[in-house]
Amino acid sequence: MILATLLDARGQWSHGYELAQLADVKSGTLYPLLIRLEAQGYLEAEWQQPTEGGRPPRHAYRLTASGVQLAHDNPPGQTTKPVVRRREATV
Amino acid sequence: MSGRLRRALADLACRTLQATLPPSLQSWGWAVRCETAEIPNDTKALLFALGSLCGLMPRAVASLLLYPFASFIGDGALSSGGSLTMNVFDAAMRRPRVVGIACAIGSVALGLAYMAIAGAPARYLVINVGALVVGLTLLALLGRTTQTGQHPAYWTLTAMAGTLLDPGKSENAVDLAPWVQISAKAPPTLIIHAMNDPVDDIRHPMAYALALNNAGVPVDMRLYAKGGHAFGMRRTADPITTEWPAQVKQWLQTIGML
Repeated sequence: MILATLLDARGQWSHGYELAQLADVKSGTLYPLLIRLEAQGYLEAEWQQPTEGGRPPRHAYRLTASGVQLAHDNPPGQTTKPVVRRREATV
Repeated sequence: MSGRLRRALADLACRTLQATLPPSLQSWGWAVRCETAEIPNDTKALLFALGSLCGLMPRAVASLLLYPFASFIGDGALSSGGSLTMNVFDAAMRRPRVVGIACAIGSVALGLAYMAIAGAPARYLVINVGALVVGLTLLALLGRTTQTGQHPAYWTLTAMAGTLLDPGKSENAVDLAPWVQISAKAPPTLIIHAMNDPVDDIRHPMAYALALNNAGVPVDMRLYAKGGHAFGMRRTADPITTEWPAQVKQWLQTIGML
């Protein structure tokens, strides 16, 4: 489900909270998965500096080429599409 | 709970996570903290932080527990950023002897725990610790010569492992725990037991009866195929429930009590 959500982003950067909402998973499930995907080279992570002062930087994620392949090879089962509309992460 | 308190608790959860995570995962601790700060709703921020803490804590605690062995089980195994399972697996492949020693220590510890629970005297515990020390000493002596290519040492170690694997007893060996002594002053005993008792294995009353017999104590034994555990006076299809009271009466007459 996380993979599908990341695939839906089509190369755009996503953030943790947004991913948890879109994939309908708890943060306790999300982060261990992200860590594993990144360690295995399926996920790219970068720190994005805040656009306005006083805000913390954010950790953003997107699939690598092998990650996209992995997501295509493992489509989610008969799960319902999330109803939340996607909001692109701002850099 | 006020919004400020919820926010403070969320921050505390994030800091706890950061303090626990190993250096290789510190950036993820910061990721959770920054992401939590970006969530406008205080309750959702708190839930997000607590969820992350619960999800990542097992990994963090495992890293902390393994940290003292990091230099022992491999160079930088825990700082490569890979999954913990893979790191431990890789380290185990590189240092099979360390894995073996860890298994030996672990199994002796489990054995000691079992014997302590079963009420074994202290000398049995000491003997088991002594066996571990002897094993490790032999490994240290013979293991070193193995590295220099002396094959007899290799075969000695294999033979030692083989003797450990063969307990020398069949499945139906019936012995009391070695530290349980039966007194010759024990009273005459009647044992009635069902083979299909799911609680107390049939070998237990058999071992007890044999030990009593060895001590010269008169033992009567009645065994049934069926009856389960704790059969009573209530009649069931199993003959044991209707027959045992008469057998007790007959036994009491035999030993002169009735």
